Amino acid sequence: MTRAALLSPVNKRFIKACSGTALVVPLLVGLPHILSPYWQSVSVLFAINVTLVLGYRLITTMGGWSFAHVSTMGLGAYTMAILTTLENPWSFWITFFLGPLVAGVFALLIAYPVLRTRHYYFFLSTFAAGEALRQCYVQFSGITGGTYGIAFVPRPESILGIDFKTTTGFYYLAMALAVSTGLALYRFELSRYGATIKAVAANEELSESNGINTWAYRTLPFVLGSVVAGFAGTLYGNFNGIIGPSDFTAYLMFKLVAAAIVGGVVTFYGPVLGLLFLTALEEIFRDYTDWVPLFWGFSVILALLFTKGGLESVVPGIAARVRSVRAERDGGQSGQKLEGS
Amino acid sequence: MATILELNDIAKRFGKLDAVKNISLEIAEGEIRGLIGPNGSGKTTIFHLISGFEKLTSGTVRFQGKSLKGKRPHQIAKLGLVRTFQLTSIYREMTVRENVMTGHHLYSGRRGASASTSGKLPLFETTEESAAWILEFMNLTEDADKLARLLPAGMQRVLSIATALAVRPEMLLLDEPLAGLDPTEKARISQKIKSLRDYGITILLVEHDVRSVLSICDRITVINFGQKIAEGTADEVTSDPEVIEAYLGRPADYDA
Repeated sequence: MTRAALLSPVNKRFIKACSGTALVVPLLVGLPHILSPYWQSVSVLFAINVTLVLGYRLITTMGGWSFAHVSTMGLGAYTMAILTTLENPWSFWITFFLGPLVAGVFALLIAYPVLRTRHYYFFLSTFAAGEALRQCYVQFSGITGGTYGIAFVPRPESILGIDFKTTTGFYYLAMALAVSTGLALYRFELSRYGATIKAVAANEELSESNGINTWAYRTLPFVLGSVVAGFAGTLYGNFNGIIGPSDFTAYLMFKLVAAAIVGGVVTFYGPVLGLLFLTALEEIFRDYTDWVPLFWGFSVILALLFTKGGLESVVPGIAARVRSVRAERDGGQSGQKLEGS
Repeated sequence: MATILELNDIAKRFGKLDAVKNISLEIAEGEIRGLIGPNGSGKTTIFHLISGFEKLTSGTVRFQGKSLKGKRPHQIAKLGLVRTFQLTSIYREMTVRENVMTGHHLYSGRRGASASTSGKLPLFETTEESAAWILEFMNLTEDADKLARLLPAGMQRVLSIATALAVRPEMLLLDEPLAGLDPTEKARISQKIKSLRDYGITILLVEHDVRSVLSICDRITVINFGQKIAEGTADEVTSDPEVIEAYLGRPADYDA
């Protein structure tokens, strides 16, 4: 690659994102040391959910909101759990990559029937495919343990001196996955592939007549997003130590969809903001868990009513207002108010 | 001159409706062919059949001697047969330049262009240069960084042609390129279409504005009720009694 290509606008943006992330890393590394064990677990699950929601956002860039994401994640978890609890157990680290592969292959297999549908029908067909898969977890009890699931899943073997049997160690693993997933997907989206996926989502007919294989460019994000879900699944199952069909129900799926709606899906930080918001609600009302879905539902409705595209669309407005207040204070009676949109 | 596109007895049936009935057509390389006919006569269906958006009930379509049977639209575009849509189809939320850039999906510059279609328009090292040339050619440079949805309808139509040119066509199918334009714009776009022929691009266009069709096209094919009723030069077609009947109706029988 030539020097000019290295400094293309796309790579500049990516380098900027990387350096931005690098600034946060010390914070993320230090975080578990100031948290109680309970909040450490919350952070681990949060990091896993961030990975999950980033994969979900990738799928939404092709224009369809899948409802099979959590069941697909389960494939990662089950692959990991089955292989690491064999009589001659596999290493977690092999299953960490095998699980996502299985999830990706599943997505590729259902892509043909499911991606023929659009809009609501896509939502419904992925819901059906996801539920069918979840029923497989129940029915093939010989290998999946049926409704009881699989217990005593061993934690990953330590590498680089990090002990993943401790919550802190596992936190580093989950956070590393979330951050690298975020950066990798960001770079992917800036690439020609990402641009083409968005073009196909915006106008499929025109894209096809421009010579774009729209089928391939709809399948690609669906499969890649599912692979990401598979990664999240291996960690999720391993962190809990026990997995069952009840881990991969519509409850978690709704949380993801709600995060995507409340946060918005145009930017990368949107769904993460949404997830942060929903997790905060969940923790604030920790003693009233039955009510949490109700609060989530309300936040979805409020986000739809009062923001144009979730929390992410509010952020630039707030930023503009802060800037204008600052400008007014610094510039005296400039009188030029920036309107926060 | 060599035939570039050949329709052989093509037919399309939707349920009980015969949308297109056994039409045969040969278009020579470098020709501008007009396809006219009253509303609902099957013009757009023929476009869909050629470009692969609809499947033929029977018959064959050959482009540069190759059968297009079973080919999907993007594969047909790759062969160099590119279409535009009747209801202007653009990427509304992209800028004009981004629209044209997206049309360059198959483009790999001067060196790799032979991999797919090389097209007739000049080739450039980079996609950016090529897009700039097309924008200039279609007089869109001034609007290049505007959002496409903010352009007036006429300019959106121009943009959809520019995007099709970015695919580097050997042949263009234009579905009503002049609809909704004012007379000045019509004249300008007609001129552009003629100059595309100077680059060697073959054009088949569907159009309602008969006067423009007569002035742009080398030959005209008239269809009605899914059947070809006349074919020839402007003069031949306009004096054809069947064409006059299709457009104006049968003379009333005053004796009755």
